[in-house]
Amino acid sequence: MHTILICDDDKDIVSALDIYLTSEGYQTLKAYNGKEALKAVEQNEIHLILMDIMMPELDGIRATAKLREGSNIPIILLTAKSEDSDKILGLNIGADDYITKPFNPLEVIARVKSQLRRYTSLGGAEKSPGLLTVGPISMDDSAKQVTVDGEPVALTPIEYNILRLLMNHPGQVFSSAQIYEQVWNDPAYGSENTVAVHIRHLREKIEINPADPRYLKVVWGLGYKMDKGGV
Amino acid sequence: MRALRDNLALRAAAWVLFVAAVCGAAFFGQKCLFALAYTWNGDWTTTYAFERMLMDREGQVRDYLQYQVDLNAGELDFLDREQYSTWLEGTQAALAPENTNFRYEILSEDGSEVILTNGSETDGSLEEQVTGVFYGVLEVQDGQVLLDSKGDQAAAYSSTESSMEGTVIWAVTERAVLRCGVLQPDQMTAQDEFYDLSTLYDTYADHFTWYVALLSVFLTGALLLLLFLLWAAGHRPGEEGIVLSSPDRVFSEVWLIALLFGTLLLFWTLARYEEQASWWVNRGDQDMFPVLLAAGTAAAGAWTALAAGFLRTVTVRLKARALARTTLLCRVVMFLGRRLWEFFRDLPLTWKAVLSFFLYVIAIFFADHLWPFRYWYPLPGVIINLAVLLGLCWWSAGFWRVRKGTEVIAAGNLNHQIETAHLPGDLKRHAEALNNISGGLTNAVNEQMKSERFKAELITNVSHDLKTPLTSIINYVNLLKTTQQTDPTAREYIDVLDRKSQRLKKLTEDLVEASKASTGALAVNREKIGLVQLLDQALGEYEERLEGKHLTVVRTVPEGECYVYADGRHLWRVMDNLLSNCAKYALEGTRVYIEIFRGKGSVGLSVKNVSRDPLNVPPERLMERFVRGEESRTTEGSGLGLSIAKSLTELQGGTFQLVVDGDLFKAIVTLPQSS
Repeated sequence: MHTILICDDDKDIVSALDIYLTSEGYQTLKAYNGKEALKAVEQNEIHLILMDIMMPELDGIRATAKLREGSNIPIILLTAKSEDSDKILGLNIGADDYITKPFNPLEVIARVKSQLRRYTSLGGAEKSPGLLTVGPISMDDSAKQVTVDGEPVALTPIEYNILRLLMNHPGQVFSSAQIYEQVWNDPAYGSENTVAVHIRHLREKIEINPADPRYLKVVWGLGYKMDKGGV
Repeated sequence: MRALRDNLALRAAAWVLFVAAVCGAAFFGQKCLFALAYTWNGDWTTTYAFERMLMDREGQVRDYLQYQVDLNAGELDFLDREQYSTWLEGTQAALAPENTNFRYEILSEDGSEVILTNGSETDGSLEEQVTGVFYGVLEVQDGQVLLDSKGDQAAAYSSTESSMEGTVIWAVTERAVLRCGVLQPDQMTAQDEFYDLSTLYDTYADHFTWYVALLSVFLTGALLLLLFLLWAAGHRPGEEGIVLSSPDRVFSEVWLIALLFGTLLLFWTLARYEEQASWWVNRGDQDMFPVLLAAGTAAAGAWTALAAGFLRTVTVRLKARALARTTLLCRVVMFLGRRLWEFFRDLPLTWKAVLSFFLYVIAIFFADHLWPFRYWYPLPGVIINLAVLLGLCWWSAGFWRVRKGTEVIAAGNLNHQIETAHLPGDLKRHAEALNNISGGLTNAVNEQMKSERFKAELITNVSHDLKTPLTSIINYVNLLKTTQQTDPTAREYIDVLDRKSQRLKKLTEDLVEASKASTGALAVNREKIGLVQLLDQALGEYEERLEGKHLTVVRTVPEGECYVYADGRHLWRVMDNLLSNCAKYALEGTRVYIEIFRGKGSVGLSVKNVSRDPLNVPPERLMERFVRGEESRTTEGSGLGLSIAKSLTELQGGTFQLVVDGDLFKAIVTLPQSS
């Protein structure tokens, strides 16, 4: 049983999240500004915090910074500010994830689960040889198995091969043609959008929000890459 | 000092004092003149009056002798004799020592014998008694006694002439010598004209210094008062600046004419005065002096008052800078000049040029061929030509400046102001008009930019505020969906809520993006990217959506990659919007033609599809915000897609073009090629 602190100045949002999280079996605490959140963290054992940014008294960014001084509780920022600069600021200050408003409650739950799994069970997982890890995604090449936050994911062989290529070179951009040549072992003529379609399927399987991927990223006009997480 | 100046009573008193001082100065001036007239040549015996008096007395002596000669001749009848005897006695009495200070003696021609005298021997010789001895020669011709006065020049009368034999009697003596003189003032006994003259002289000689001193005092006083009055003139208590009073408003010419008339009168008076004064002064007669003094003082005072009034009004007008305005002649000249100038100024430029040319030709003709200038030929013509050349240079320099300024404005620097100082009239007006245009444009552009920024900020803020309630709506709709409604109508309603809330979400996102893109508030990171690669990636993303609408993509790309210089994420949004447009509005079961083609320094991408609904909107309108092919607004889509695509393309330095041909919809994106 995990305790989640929901902090937002809009009470309706707090109660809606409360309903969703409670129905998923989590225990919840409510706070309506940054100060209350800090107080709640002091007084209770909390496993994850959902925090709005624009709040009276103490905003989410300052509260996160304060919390990070002595705690590594996962913090997910819920923000109406959708600009990249706001996201970067939040993540740099110590937040683990962000969700822009208006959010999909299912995505919130998925991200909460992901963060909790990593915080509680996978925190100190030792790396075995042949295990590739990028963020929450792990690939055991010997078992041909891919897990996201510990949950196994079923991939087709082509998807698996594409993912392995990208995970072997995290941060490196591969064009569609390169991926095609390496995975299909064929010249890339006529491949056109084949790779793109596969990548999209792959994204849908390993990303929480495929429209806003965190790890398997599209570099438009250049290709695809595996990112270690971030914006 | 200011209080002094503004005290009107004081100023009136000053005027009175001024006139009084002038009168005093005139009075003592005349006194000085009189004194000078008497003392100029030395003592009183050298005055003209003395000379006249002496001559009169000498004449009297001659008359005395004449009467004697006439009586001795014995040719007179009784009555005449009686008459002559009376005259003789009268003359004798007048010449008697108790009645006059004039002393004379008549000597025989050789000077050895005194024939006749009015002096007595007890008083000593003539030389001892008189101030100076005057000589004369008496001669009898045909019974007439002639006197040739020699003055005090004894040398002129020489004793060498005295060769003639002479005795006592006049009748036989043909020539005799007259010696005469006037007693020293301290020996005078009679109250005659010489005594009067001597006294008069003494008075003037003694008082001359006083007269000069008083004259200086009055003159200085009058001058100081005049300066004060001129300084104070035009000021009014309680009013700032110079106020013109009614005498200052009449035309200056009136004052000038009055002054001229007064001056003429003064000259006439002076002439008469001089005539009278010299006559009386030369007679040594003081009886008329008071009249003369009064007349002279009055004339001088009156004229000076008039002149001071004139000076005052001119000063006031000068102080108020109104001299030209209140002068009829100046006004007429200025009026005519202004009219002429206005006439010339308002002529069309062509006429001005023609007129200037003819003026130039006439001026050159006059300078080269007409009398006073021909003398220096060709200097005047050269000077005129140089002046014209300078004028042309001035005009050209001004025109150049205006042209340069216009180019700067045209290049986009709307804040540029053309310097209009020292420009010729017409160019100046032209430059001012250009400055006004540029100022107006600057304002308009600033206003527009301000309003765009304001709009973008407003939209961002509003969208933030919209997002929070929208979050709740979406969340609670989702919660409603999980409540397992048994009523199918309720489920239908919830579906509507769900759809609309999702649409609202999309709309707010698009709204922010559109406003950012159109105001340029987006960061653009341009780099070399492959357009074909991007197209394939995009098609990969859209494959299923397009297939779902039974749309077949026909893709035509040139050999090899087409590299463009653009921001990949923004370009993806452009492509995203175009493909989503196809998915939304294309007629199901048709083909979508996507082509990449190389242009000159650019790469183009065109997307063609057949619209499901008739496109009765011109392409320009389609790119405006919130405009969609159909106006019902029931289908998905915010109506912002094309507007965003256009703005983003332009942000990356490309062009976005729409062509609508019947139901055929064609979008062409052109981007700069990457080298």
